[in-house]
Amino acid sequence: MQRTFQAMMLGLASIVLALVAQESNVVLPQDKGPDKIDVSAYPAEIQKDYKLFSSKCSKCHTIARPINTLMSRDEWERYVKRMMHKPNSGISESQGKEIFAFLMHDQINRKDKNPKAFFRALSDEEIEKLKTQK
Amino acid sequence: MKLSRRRPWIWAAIPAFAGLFFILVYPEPSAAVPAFARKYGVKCYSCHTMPPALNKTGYMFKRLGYRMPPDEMDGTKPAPKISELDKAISWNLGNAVALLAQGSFSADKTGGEEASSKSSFNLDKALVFAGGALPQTNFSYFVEFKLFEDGESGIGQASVAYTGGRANSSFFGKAGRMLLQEGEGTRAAMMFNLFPEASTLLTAGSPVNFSLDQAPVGVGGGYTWASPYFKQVLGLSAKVTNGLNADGSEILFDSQRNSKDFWFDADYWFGPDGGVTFMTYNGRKDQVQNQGTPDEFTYRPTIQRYGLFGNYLFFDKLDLLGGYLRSRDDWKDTLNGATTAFTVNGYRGEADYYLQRGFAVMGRYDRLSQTIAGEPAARTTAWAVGAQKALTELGNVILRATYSHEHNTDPVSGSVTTDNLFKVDLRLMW
Repeated sequence: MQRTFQAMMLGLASIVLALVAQESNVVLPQDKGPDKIDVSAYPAEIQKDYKLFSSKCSKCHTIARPINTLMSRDEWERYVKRMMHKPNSGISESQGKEIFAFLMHDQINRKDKNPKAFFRALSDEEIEKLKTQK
Repeated sequence: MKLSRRRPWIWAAIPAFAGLFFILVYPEPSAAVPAFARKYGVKCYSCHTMPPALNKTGYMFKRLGYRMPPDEMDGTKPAPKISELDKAISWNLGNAVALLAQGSFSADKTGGEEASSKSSFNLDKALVFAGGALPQTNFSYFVEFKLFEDGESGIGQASVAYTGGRANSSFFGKAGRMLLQEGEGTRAAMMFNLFPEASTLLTAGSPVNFSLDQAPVGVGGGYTWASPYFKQVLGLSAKVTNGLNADGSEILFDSQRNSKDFWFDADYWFGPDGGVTFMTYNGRKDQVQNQGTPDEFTYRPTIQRYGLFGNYLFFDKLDLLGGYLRSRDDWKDTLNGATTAFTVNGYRGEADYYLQRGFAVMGRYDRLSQTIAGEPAARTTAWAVGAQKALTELGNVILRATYSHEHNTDPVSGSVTTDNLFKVDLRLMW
């Protein structure tokens, strides 16, 4: 009987933990935005880069994250390099350049025209704050 | 309905699966994210080719004491200290606890002296994991609690570790119950892979009841070196663990035998995601021979394993894996007879093709040539094919189908058994 009780408690504890775990999910504001861009008006080369960007940059995080983030040229350059240098990014140097070309084109031709519709990148501390608020 | 007292897991499984159901229907889109992915806001593929097979990031994450490898380590300035990694991320329960459940349908046909054919729906496992780094310290912990697995519940793993140094040159010491051969090693040497079971080469038992597939209690340590941006990684690990009793169970408390097992592993990762591993194990245990007969006696064989494994991921698509494992165990038939040897030369090959992210087809082949005291070799061959597909973008719900065949010749009795298993399983991690 005692073992059964312990097992039931364990099962119930697992539910509580699962629910707590759910509540702790971090969803950045960028993640909630659109996860596609209409690139039909972009040059053919940039449309090709967009395909590469969609494939490579959705491996570890939502593709909505970079699509809805505003950054300066230097910041994009730094971020692309950071992502490229993740041990398993699968992004070569030439692919990194193509992804950067797309991001800069998109920044200038879409985001800079309506910056209020996008979010600036959050620092680790701001993400932590977001979690605390949640 | 009267439930057997021998199956208390059923009582644990009912609320756990009620919880699982609730979570599945809960409208939050990011509900089913395991703890580490939750902690960093990333998908499973950050650290796995497909869970649970680790990639280089996952390997480094583990070697750094469950801390994310920094992505700006260019070698021009000192790499961050271990205690500085992830320091902005505070500890909370949701970032530290994860659940895993797996159910399956299987159809199994065995041939040989005890031929049988059966099919069944199964609850394979329900596990709770807790793990991570303690923020702004060098300590980390990992616990695997089995609510249910193979009819048992209890602690599968529980260890505490201290990791020091910097991200490019670190060392760790850990103590507790840990898997003998797990994510320590490049992918071809890992127990966790894309198939439901580890490769036959790694799990095969010997006539003295020893298998690398165990989680003993002990202490371990290691050193990890990484070049700028982790392009090359060298990991050295060693463990001293309790030995085994005559029945193959682990020595947990005092033993007059004072038996200890020694394990060493050296891994070198190169390129985008390839590596080689050398591993060796040396231990001694009591072996009861001719059990239950008038000729029963106990002796103490030395058990040795030497393995060389390697893999390379081509074009981020095709992962080719291979390995060789040499086994040598002392062997004695009669009390006054000479001590001879049971030896195995085992090989494995595997090809995993990632059709797209979260969708892989795989095939593997294992061949073991086993000899006792110079007798003709008994051969065991095993092959398996399968496919698996992640049902969520995060990669935390996976449907898998596999078919495996094993032809096993017992090196002692010479009897032959065959096993054909078809299995479809669904794994949920959250």
